[in-house]
Amino acid sequence: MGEPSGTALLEVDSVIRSFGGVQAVNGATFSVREGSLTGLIGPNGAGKSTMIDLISGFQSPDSGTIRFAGKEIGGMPAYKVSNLGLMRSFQTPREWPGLTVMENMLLSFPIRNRESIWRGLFTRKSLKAAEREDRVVARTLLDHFGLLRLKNEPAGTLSGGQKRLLEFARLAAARPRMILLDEPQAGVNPVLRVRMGELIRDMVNDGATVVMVEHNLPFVERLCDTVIVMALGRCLATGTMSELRAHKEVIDAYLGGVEGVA
Amino acid sequence: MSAYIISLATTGVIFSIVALGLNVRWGWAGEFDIALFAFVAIGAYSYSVFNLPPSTLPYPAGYILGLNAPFWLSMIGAMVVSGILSAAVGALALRKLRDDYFGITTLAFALVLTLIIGQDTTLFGGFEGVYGMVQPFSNLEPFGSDGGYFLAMCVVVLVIVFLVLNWLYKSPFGRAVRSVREDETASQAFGRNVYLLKLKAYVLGGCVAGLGGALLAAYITSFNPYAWTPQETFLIYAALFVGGTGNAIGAIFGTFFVFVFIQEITRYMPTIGDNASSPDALRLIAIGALIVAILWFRPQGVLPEPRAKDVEDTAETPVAPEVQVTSG
Repeated sequence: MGEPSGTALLEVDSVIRSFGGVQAVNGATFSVREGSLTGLIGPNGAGKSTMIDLISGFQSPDSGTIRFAGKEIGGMPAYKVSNLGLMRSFQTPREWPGLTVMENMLLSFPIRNRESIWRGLFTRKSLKAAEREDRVVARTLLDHFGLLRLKNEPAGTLSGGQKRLLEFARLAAARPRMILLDEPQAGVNPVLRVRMGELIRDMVNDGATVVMVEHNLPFVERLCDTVIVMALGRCLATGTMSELRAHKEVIDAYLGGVEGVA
Repeated sequence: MSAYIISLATTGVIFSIVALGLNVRWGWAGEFDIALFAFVAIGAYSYSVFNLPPSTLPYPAGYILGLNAPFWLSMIGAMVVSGILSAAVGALALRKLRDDYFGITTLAFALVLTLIIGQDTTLFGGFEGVYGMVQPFSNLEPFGSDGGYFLAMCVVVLVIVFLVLNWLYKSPFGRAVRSVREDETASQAFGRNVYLLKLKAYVLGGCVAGLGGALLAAYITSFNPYAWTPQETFLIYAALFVGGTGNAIGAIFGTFFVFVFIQEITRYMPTIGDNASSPDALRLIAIGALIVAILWFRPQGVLPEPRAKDVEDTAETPVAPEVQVTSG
């Protein structure tokens, strides 16, 4: 088990989710400490991405409980989970391609209360003023992520790496309490990978709790305090990478699992 | 001004309002709605029965209400009724269905409504339809009898609709609706209730379409049950495609192009053989060819959706040294 310090922000207990005859997640149990950077690893088909979908509300568990900050969120619609402060990224970055980079940023601030038709018609001045502040923050963030000169371009025209950076910039604008990253290194070139590591560290230093699904094990080892290993829909072990290396079951699952993948 | 020019302009202005309604649904929210003209019909009918005195049509013909309400109140009533029915249809069709399945459901609604309007004589006046309204301002000299003042009112309504929609388009609400069009999943991941945003856009579009229907009924002073075919919706799509989906000015331009220019130019096409309806058929063929040509050569339309420019209010800050990012 990981270090006992800090309370559990996310608790997953005996969660099951199957698709037809396939048990993608089969009784997974683990918890994530507040303020930690936790890696979620495992062979292909271990159920990692399904786990992310279940926690973020994009799928509902068949049974079991998922608690975020003490609140049951299993089966809750994705937008509600997001508004509770638990947000996620996707394997391929999902931006709003036809909207500009700046509009993508403005949509990422937690401003749901401003999005009423009534306010859009009758409080246009105060909306403008509030948005002016958001724009200043957004420009600073875009500058930090090297995207400022592209602020008026449609986000769909960015390169793969730039889209990944924009995704990070949007998460930084949203400032959620917890972030689930689904393979943040996928489709990113080696130079940017190093930078991604720093940016993920920045998220934690800014107070977010981060769970990262990742196949690049050296990257996980360098970055994460705690690592959770999944195989066949279950949570096999939790610990630091060096602890896990001594874990016979983990080694078997990884090497055996690769051959066993359908 | 000749009555001919006035009638062309009035048609163009009224259909522009209808096109702005479709632009909210399809242009902002990306809802492939085929029922739009059903809500124009609902607006036209509601206007008629709010505006007319109680029915004196011989049974089985007839209509409900007959409130004798002034035209402006009847217009508001038409918007409200269209909005409520949009909410009902949208709540069903938008809940679980995506894109084409949503489109098929709205088509089914439009067909069912067309049949009901055509069949239910006690509600919709039967063969003759609901008629006998007085066109607003038509008694006002010197231009009322030509429809000049009515045209002026339609232009005022168009300007108001245009301004209100333009505010909403640029507001956080409009941006959130457009985000749903661009990527629903991303909108959910960033806390948007996608269903509710789509439903709001559907109702807003329905209100505008209903207002257009009310003006249409006020203009032609009757409600003909046989004039409301789902085919009309595609003409409005044609107008949006030509003008530029998502661009309000484009929608108005496209409407005048399709509903006035094409309409009038095809009037002078020769009839083929002794088939008197061939110009009508040729007009639809021309509009069909126009849709294909536009989608092929200029899918964004003549006036593409404007891009929201972020301009700094203070003096331009120097561009920070760029982080070299190569494509991934």
